[in-house]
Amino acid sequence: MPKITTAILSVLATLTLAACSAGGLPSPEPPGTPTPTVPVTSVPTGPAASAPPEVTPQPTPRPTEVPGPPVASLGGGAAGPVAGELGTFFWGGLGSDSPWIVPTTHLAAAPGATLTVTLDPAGAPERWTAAWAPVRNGAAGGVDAVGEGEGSSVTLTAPGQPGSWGLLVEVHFPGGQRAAWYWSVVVAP
Amino acid sequence: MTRQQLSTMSRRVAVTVIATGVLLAGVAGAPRPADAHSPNPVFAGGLFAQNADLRFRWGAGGTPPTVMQTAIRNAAAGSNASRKSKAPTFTYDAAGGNTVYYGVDVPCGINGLACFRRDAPTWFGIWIRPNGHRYDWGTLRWCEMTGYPNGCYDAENIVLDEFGHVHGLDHHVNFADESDYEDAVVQTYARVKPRAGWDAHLFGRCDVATLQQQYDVATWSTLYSTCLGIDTTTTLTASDTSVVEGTLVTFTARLASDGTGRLAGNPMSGRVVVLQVRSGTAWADVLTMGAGSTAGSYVASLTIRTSADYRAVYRRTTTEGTRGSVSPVVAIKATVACYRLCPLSILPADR
Repeated sequence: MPKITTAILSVLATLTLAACSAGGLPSPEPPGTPTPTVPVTSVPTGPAASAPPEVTPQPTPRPTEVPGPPVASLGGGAAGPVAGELGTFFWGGLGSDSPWIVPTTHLAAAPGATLTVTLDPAGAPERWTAAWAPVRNGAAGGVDAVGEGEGSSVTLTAPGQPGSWGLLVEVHFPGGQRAAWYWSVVVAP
Repeated sequence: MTRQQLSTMSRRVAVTVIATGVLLAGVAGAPRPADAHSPNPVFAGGLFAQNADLRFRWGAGGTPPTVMQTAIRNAAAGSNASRKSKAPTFTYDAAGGNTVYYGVDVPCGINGLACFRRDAPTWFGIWIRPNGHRYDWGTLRWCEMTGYPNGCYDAENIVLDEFGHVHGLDHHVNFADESDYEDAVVQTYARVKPRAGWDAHLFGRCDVATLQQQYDVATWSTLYSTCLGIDTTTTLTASDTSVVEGTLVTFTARLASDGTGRLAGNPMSGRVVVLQVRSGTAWADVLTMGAGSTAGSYVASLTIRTSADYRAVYRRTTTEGTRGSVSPVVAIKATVACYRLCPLSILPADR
């Protein structure tokens, strides 16, 4: 029982963390965005997404929150849904590059189990791709298979071979926006 | 990647991809062929000007450590050296109008190594996470700052990826088994040392292919990326097509690309174009034509002895992503030379 409780708390914590982190992206303003005149003595803060040098000093634009990719969860395993780790995405004009992430929290699933990815908010996905890679020594190895499809949600079949697997799902949304999420899936009979 | 290959791949590891909701499982379960092994897709949002000189400076409060500065400058140099197109160049300039920032305060999302914004044709910004950043899944180690241990990320490679995005490149679509991963630096996910491609410091051929499509080739002698399959057109003209035997005739061939967009109608210089003569039912090489006076032109002079058909041939090579082409035939009619009294039959009036 304590193990189950711990697992639930872990999943909830992961979901909460992902929800917080993926909910908004700091968005520095590019040059050309109207900026209020500031005293020369003002101290720039925030990232250096700054305007080109001007005769009149400008502050380095501060990040502003814009909606980021949705939270993606993988369900259908032995326990409840597990939030995916957000990887590479292009959203709101910002492109971010990530490695293949092997999350520390995993989803346990039986061989061939049906797994479903859900998005929150659901949005209107245009298409998606998925890839499985075996995980050895904590790192994802070569990709063994890919698939793709169209539709508003994604349903996958867990690998038939027991072991630790990494799963990548990349979803494409209207307007060229897209995001990739990663999961660890432990397949055991 | 064919539908059958994808299907086979899916069966191999029992992966079934099915869309639910509106689509029925059976419909979406059949994977669509991917655009694998083709030029990278392109971001929406426009391009920078051809050969734009994009200067960048370090972001305020985000000056990289010296070793990372070197990696970033090297990435810029790698982009410039391998673009093989009129894509912009990147140069560090303390007064530059674009920024590269290294530090904690980055807008790269929870798991980003680096990120970018582009506002073509005027501005770009790149942000790089600092060495030692702790993710939920591990600690970021830039190879350049940690002595290149296994598990590190090569900053020069990652920043080159970002410069590729600034050019307008989207992520390469790989084969299912990613056997073509090294055809592009701009990838959906970065590879860690020592996986193949982790330290690529020049654009891959499919990155270059898109740069050439979008910005045009650098010069008329620049080879087209082997990630492309550009048709070509060869034409042939002769200085005279009806001559007395022993006359020197100059042949001029013109070779041009027959692609789309920027790659349509480009003269192609510096290639091998061969002049051929018909020999019975076959064709035989006569000589390799030399460079002409204008871009994409090739010339050869022959002393004509007999009437014959000629043509110019551009053969496909493995070093370039173009298809071969053959010019239309040029027939040269040679008449017998007269040294004393010419027979009436060949007097000019009877020709």
